[in-house]
Amino acid sequence: MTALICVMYVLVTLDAAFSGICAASGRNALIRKRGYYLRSMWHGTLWGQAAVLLGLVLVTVTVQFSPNRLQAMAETQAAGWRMATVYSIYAVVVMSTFLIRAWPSVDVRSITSTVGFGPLTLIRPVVIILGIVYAAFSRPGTSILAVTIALGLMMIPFRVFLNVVFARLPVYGDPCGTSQEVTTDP
Amino acid sequence: MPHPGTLLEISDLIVDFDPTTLQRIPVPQDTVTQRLRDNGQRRAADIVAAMPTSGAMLETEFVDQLLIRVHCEMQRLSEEFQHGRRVLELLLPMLTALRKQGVRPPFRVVDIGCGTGYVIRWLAAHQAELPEHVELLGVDFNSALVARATQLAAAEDLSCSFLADNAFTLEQPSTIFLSTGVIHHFRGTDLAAFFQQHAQTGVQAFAHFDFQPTVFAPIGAWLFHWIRMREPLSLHDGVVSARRAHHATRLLEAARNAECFRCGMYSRWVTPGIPRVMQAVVGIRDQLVDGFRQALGVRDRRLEELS
Repeated sequence: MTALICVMYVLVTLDAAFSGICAASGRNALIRKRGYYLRSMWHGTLWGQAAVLLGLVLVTVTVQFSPNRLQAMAETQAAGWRMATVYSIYAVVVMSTFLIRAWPSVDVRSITSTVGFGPLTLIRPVVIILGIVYAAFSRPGTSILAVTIALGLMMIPFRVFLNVVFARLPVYGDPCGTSQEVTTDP
Repeated sequence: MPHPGTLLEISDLIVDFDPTTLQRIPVPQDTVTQRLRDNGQRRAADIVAAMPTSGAMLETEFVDQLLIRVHCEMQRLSEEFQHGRRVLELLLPMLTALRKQGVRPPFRVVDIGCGTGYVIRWLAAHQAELPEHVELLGVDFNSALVARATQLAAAEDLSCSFLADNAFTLEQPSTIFLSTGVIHHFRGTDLAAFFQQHAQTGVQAFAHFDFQPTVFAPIGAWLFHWIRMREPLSLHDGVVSARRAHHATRLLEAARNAECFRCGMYSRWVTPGIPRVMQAVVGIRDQLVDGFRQALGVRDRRLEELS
């Protein structure tokens, strides 16, 4: 169970960090934005921790109040590992695309956007649902299935949520990022 | 659905300028919405109908802030597609050819229709990669965009400048003209007239980048703008831009109105059959052609015939 929690924690935190970048993109017209994006990753990660905490609470409460805790734990692990498998594959593809983008070629980097990051962003909700569906095939009990669905569905609108939050933060809300709170890169 | 060539962009309609004084002319909201509806663009009409007005006129302050946000969003696409680097890769050989030919510095690189000045600011941020005596100037009719570009450049202490002016009537001579996503706004005879003016300015070379119209472009543009853009205007105009983009033959036909320039298309294909998102129509003075092609090096393969 510990291993599953660790894997899911890494996956959710990574997703939250990259969601922070997405939510911050297009809000700052400065050229040098490394510090800006690092800050957005941090903010995304922080909100991701809230999601992690909520998820842990949901799972813990569901297992604790199950008539058969051992069975509930086993079902949770089975469903959880299936979700983790699907999300890990997606994460590997995303990270690989970042690696490819590091190649110093305008064409290669452009292609990673057109056939990599763009479509990957588009299919993120589909991947989350696929993870839920795959988890459902492990035939967990009703309460575990409900928690699985709830956790997955919580992550789908996470980027929309971050967009709303960032639009209200001064450092992201300034239409062209010339707020005094923005620290430009050296 | 209207023919792509007849589609209208909201950003073209919600601002108007006196062509001589560049003074802002108020724009009646109803006129714009009716024009869009008559053109079969109901969604665009709804976007404009939702804009605040002062009397019957679109609120200038709102329109300016909206266009600034839109340009901010569009910059994201330029960043993703490495547009600054793409421009630099073409600009450097031009500058090398100029030096070889003995053209006297300073070399004024002028971005026509610069918006919030992304290309010029990017080049200024990478000044170390440019040769000496290069001056960077962004020009746009819209003084609000120019003001924001100036503010952004100052925020990062970038060595470049911006003017609300007509690029073809600047006091100081220009050496190289650039533009990004501008030429599709010129339709019919205006496109030929745009290129004709190049020869009158004494400019030595030009590179105008725009979307490449391919079979993938409309769906690709829609997908990308739907994923990346927040403003409805950005989404609408971004997709329309890709659909209105001129084909290479049309661009070359118009570019050849620039007398004393040899013109060709640059960077259309990654490999045969795989198009790039952006293409450029390049023009260079006769005497600079050999030096330019030599300076391009391996990228000379991307330059189609100059004629």
